Amino acid sequence: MKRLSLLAVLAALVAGAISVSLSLGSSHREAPNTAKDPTADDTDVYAFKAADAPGALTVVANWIPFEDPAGGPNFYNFDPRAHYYINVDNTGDGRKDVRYEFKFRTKVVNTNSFAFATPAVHSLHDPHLNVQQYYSVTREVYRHGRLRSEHVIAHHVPTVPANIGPKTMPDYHSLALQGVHSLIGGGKVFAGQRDDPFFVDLGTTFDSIHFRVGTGNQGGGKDDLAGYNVNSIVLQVPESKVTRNRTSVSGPHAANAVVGVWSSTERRKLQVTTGGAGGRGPWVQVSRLGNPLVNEVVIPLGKKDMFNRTTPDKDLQNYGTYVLNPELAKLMNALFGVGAPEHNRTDIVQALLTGIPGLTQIGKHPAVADTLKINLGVAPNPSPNRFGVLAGDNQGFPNGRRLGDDVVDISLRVVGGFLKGHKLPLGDGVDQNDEPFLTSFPYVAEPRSGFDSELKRNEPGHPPTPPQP
Amino acid sequence: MTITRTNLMGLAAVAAAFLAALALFGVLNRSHPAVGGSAGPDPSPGDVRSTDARIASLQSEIRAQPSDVGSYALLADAYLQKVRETGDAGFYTRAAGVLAAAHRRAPRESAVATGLGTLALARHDFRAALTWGMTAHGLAREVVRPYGVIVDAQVELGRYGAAARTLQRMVDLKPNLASYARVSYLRELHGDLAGALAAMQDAVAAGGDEPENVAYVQSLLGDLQFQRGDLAAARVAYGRAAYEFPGYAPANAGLARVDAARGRLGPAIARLRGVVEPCPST
Repeated sequence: MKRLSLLAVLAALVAGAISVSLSLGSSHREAPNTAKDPTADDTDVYAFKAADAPGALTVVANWIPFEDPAGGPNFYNFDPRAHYYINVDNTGDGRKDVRYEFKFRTKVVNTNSFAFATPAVHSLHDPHLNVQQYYSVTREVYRHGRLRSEHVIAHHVPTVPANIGPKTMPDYHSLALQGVHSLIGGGKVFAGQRDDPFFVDLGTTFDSIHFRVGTGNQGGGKDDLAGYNVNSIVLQVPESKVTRNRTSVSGPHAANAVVGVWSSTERRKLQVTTGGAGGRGPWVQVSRLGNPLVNEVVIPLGKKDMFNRTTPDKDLQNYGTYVLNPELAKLMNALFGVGAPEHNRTDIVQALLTGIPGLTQIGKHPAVADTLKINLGVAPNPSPNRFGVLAGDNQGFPNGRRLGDDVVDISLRVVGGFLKGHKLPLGDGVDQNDEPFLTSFPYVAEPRSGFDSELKRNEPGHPPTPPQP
Repeated sequence: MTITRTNLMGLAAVAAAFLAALALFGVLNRSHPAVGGSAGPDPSPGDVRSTDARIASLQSEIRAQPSDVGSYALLADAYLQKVRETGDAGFYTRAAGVLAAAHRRAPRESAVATGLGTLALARHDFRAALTWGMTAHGLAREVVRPYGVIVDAQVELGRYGAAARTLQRMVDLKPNLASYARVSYLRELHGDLAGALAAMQDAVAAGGDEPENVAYVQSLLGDLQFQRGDLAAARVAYGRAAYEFPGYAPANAGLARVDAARGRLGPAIARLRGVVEPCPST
């Protein structure tokens, strides 16, 4: 080491003669200042009872939005210096009672090579897979917000890499199956790339508010997320691991039936000036997500950073007014006078934040908290309806969220006043995901490969969906 | 409710207003690479993440919705990103035009003030940058980005104590590539090379949405390794940067420095020719 340093000093003296400023366009330092932070960005959370695992809670939590399958050369990895979480509130106070922590470690097989992978990768430990990620899962139990116990329930589990293409990864299907791992204490886990199960038509708005067909209730929309991938963590644990009394649920009216679920990401603070000690501070939450579209549509732009660092138990004081008096309803009425209720929207508060009494409310005095509430006593529905509870299918959103639930159409109708009897036939014209979901764990469809990448998809037209689906 | 033709239009508008909110979020937070355009599969899927594609997409959005100030600020950001990638200062002029138009339309929009601050930094008008950063912060106190503009301006004006305090707030609120990279620089200025290296490794691990941003922090990591005298580690960092963003001048200049330090002057000169000829300011 000493010898190396001496050599380096000499080398630096030589190299110093070549005066090269390393910034483009100007001579001072301009670090990027973007708000985008994909590796920490929770995009969606799903919580449901799978037909093949009716005694378990299944959670799909996604990170890294808009992964272009062909987005090499480095593709997409979890941040090995972040902590990823799936949180469960089983007492209704908006605080975590059980938390699953996912910590990743990156292993580069050949540090002299920058390639992500070379032909042909046949296993998750294959040396041709140059960048490998492994993770551990820790189950933490909290009481009144205080950590009571923690146990590592999986260790050194391989992450399923990005699907690059058939030459590099000839059998991606079997490669991905190697990523399914059993948990100590029961259940399964998967982490890695998947097809983004979210579906929505965003393009409609930019052509001078041009609905493709009708009011978006007859198909014909364009799925702007079709063909994009995400990084998923899929967790399936026995009900008894997440309920308040640590037993399984006897039925929909059992006292332990409902739990609230959300995902979050933490990174470490740093001490700016350390006197040479290189100080690292405590962990801080940089992103979170419970119900779909809350951060997207309800929280104003200027509060999004704050929303991402605050916890659900403080949602009433921080954001209650934005839910009770949604800006969107006001905008609708100011522009078009459609009679969407503007104030005192306790119907939205109940559906998303406090829970629907008798279905998704936890206990008698639940906190106003953005957690995705699921009643574990409701059996899986063999023929699900994409409108979920709105169509009388009580196993779907906002009772948990299945992969196929059409949360954009549901939310449009709820903001329009559906739960107050003001039923409007709204939608975005996209009704389903581009890829069919799997019938077994990890349920989310396989990612499109970079080689076969094809982005966006048109929804076929169909007869109008009525105001009451 | 009975649907007549009149309220059918109204309903479409309701849904559209909702989707507009969603789409704006998509552009801002979900980093939607290219929205809009004709129906059907994108003909060039490999391009959708590029800054050029983003510029084209935002330009067409602004043509469709000239009152959408949020898109102006994003377009200015994309122009400023383009300078980072190419060194072509002509994009400053374009960013200035877009920001001036946005500022006329919405003088109290924090994102526009942040854009004006970033532009002022790029043009070395650090006092103006500080004022814009403070203005942006005053207009949206919970938004973290203005802190970055304020920190950079304070550093360049030599106000290191103030810069460290602002940056501590920034990294406490939002540890990510932007704040970690700035912590590294402040530590380096304080002579804490090991601390600077650790913070820059955090920045690289966090990553970002723009390949250039990732290549930038990898190149700076290479500089720090080089300063410490670890030529092998410096070479790996520069190499990763060049791999992440092919043709990236700071990475190639770094590789040339490593070559020179190892006494391989021929390859160093060849590399530097490749850097200097397309980009003389580097």
